[in-house]
Amino acid sequence: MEKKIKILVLISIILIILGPVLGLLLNKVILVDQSFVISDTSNSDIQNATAIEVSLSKGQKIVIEFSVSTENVSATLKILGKGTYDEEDVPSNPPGPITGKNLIYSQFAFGQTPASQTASATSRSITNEGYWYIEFAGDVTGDYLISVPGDYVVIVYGSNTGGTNVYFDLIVKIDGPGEIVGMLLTLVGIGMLVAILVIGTMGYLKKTGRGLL
Amino acid sequence: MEKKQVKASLFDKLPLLDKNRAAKFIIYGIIIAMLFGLMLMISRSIDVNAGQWEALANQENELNYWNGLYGYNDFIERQEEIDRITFWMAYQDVIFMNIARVGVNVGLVFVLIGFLSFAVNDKIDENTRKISLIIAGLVLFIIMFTTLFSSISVSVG
Repeated sequence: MEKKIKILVLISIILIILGPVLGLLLNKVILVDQSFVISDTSNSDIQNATAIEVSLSKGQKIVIEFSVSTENVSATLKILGKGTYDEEDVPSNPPGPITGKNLIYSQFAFGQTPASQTASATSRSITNEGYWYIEFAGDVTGDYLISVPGDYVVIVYGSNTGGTNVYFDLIVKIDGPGEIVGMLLTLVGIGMLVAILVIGTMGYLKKTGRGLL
Repeated sequence: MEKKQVKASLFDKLPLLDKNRAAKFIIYGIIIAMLFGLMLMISRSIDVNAGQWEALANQENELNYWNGLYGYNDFIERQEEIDRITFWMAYQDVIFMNIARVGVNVGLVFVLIGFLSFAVNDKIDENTRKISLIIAGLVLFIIMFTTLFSSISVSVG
């Protein structure tokens, strides 16, 4: 019996510690984290561009880390609604004139107020080298995201003035269930600990034939 | 033969606990009152220091943003979350203060019954009984005042 109680106490402590850790780990789920090589014909044909489909629910957003570090390469990232993408997804259709959805990007300038370092845009381009940290939830108002649930497509296209391939790195992360999972585990752990304490005390008093008073 | 009428005194009507049980009542009462008092002090301390915590959390939030751990929207979300927690840190005092007030009074009732039982126990010497009665009166006085007047508070500075 005593051994059982010790094991249960240990499990509850593990749950209490694991809650915040797991919450942090599951806070963002990585959908894509890889280096891409696409043809520079993607600049004139949307069907050769990289297209990553994401589905956003209410209050959910995606974070995109987009970078290029190759000479002569110019790449552009846009986010389109699924309907628009399907409509535009025809042979020899250049993605340049298509207006992307509003997104916000951040520039991490140490010591400066974060609000002044971000602005909404409909696309982000990089030539030769560069990095953008993008957040998207459907729409924006000023520098703030508006959650518009639905299906979206992240497209990247580009050109290479010294070759035929466009190289870029892309990380796409989506809001995960971290907060709920973390809170649930911590609550279960605390609940278990309290229950063990109460039931254990009652059992001990019953076993020894002692009342509280 | 003439019958003698013995009138029951107020002491005889009080709940009579034996010496050991009365002592247990006093000890448990003091423990309960102390635990709830401790809860009140912790709760008050959290309330008083909410602003300090907010300043620290905001600075950490900015540092995390500047270090590129998360973007502007996450920064704003965290800022709102910090505000929410700060409000809760201040408001929890209202909840726990009332719980503690009830808890301390319940503990004091136990202490009161314990001392009253000492006072009405004829197996204890007269002086101890008198002192017990005076202490019981004082405890009752405290219970009444803390229950009926909300402005009484203990401050530790």
